[in-house]
Amino acid sequence: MENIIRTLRAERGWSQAALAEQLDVSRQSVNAIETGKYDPSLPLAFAIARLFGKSIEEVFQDPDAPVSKAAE
Amino acid sequence: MAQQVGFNAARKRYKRLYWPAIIAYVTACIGGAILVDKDTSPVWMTSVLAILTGAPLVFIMWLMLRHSDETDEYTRMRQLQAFAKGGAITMSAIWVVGSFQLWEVIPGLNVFWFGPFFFLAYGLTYCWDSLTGKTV
Repeated sequence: MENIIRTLRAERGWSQAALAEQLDVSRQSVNAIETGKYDPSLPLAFAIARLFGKSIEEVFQDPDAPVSKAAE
Repeated sequence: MAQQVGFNAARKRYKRLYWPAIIAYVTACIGGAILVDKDTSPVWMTSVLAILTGAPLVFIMWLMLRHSDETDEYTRMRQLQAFAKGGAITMSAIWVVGSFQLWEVIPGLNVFWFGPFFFLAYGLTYCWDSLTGKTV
């Protein structure tokens, strides 16, 4: 699962630790999710999306998803 | 088991009980070494000492599992993986050493030492996964 958390975090000037504090998870968790080493559960994914004011689909992308004709 | 309370609260709850348990364990070890003589002390006294020494470690094992249950999902995954791997390594050591003892290749080894061995295996597995990049 790919995501744009690092970009969203950088836009707001937040460190990984600051984001982790707001999500009440460890800094290692944020790092693992950002680097794609760990896919969060749905509740955590919703919490991340909510924090950035976006939908889950905007934050997380499925690299195996078929490309729609509109996108082509 | 308790419900998830979040990374920070779980860590505080763990530390609040972990340190008293460790102090109790060290006190029992040092106190026992000073006060009890294995050859002359009555059985009830050495039994009490054994319970006082072992109980904090059992409590810490329960504390580790409670912390895993309460912390965030990624930390829980890492801890339980290390717990499982550490447990598997310890069980393997018990079987190998036990087989050698069964065939009287080596003399008897106190079962007590498999406890510290588990904590060592747990800690090394936890660090190894971080160092090899399996986790962050």
